[in-house]
Amino acid sequence: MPSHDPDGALLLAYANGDPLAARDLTARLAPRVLLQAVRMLADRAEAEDVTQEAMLRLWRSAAGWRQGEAKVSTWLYRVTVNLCTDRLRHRGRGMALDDVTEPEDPAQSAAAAMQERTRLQALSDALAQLPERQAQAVALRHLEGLGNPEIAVIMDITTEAVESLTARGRRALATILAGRKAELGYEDD
Amino acid sequence: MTEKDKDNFAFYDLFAEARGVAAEPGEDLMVRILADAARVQARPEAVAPVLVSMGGWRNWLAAIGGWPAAGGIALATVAGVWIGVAAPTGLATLASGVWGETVTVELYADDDLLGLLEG
Repeated sequence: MPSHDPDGALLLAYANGDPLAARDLTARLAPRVLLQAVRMLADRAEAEDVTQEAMLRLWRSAAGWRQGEAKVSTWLYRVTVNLCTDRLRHRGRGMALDDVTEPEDPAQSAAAAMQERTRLQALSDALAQLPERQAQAVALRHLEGLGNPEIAVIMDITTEAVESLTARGRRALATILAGRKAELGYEDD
Repeated sequence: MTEKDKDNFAFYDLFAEARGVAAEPGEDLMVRILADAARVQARPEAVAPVLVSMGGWRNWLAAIGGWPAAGGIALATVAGVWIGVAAPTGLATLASGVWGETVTVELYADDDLLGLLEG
C-alpha cells in the first residue's frame, strides 16, 4: 500500500465484508468527490449523480483492488474528473441559473449571489468547450489546487505534459471567456 | 516565477471563486451511496466491473461469442475429423453426383523422396 493509505485499508476491509467500512469510506471520500464535481459542473444535482457513480465504481473495484499500485484518493480524482468531463461533453447548452450551486454565505446579496452563479456557470460552460484532457488538467490544477506531479499521476502523463495542457487550457479559456467579460463583472481593459 | 507571472490570464479569480464553493453531501446522497455499497458488498460477482484488458484468449473467446460459440466450433471440428476418418458411404455417392466423377487425392507421393535426395 503506498505510504500507508488508510482508504486502501478500509477498501480492503469492505471487500472482506466489513459492514462498517463503507460508512467510513463514504464519510471520508464522498464530500471531496462532491466538491470536485460541483466545482467543475456548477450544478448540484449533476454533481451528486457523479458522486454516487464515482463511489459505486469504488465499491465495484474493491474486490480486485490492487494494493500498492494506487492510492484510493488518486484513483477517485481520476474517476471523478473523467465523469465530469463526460457530463460536460454531453451537457445541453443554456442551463437554467436556478440549477447552479447555491453560494453558502447568507450575507451575500441577491445580486451578488446571481453574479457568482453566473460566473461559476460561465467557467463550467467554458471548461465544457475545451478539449477533454485540457479541461481535466485545468480543473485539477486550478479548481482542486493540485500540484503538477500529482496531476501527472492522476492523468498518467508527464509533468511536462500537464504544464502544456494547463497552459493551452488557460489560453483557450481566456479566448472563450473574453466575450463575456462585461457580463461576468470585469472592467474593460 | 508563478503561473500568474508567466501568462496574462485574466480569470484566475474565477478559479479562486470556484475553489471557494462549499458543498456537503446531504443525507439523501449518503443513503444512496451506502445502499449501493451494501448491494455490491452482498453480491460483488453480480456487479463486477468489466475488465479493460482481458488478455489474449479471453478476448478471442469474447469476440466469437463466448463459451456457447466455442462449443459449436469444437463440435464442428470433431465432426469434420470424424468425416475425414470414416466417411459415410453416402458421402462418396454425393460427391460423385455433384462433380460427375470420382476424384482421388493422394496424401503421400508415390516417389521415394528420400531416395531422390540420396540419388
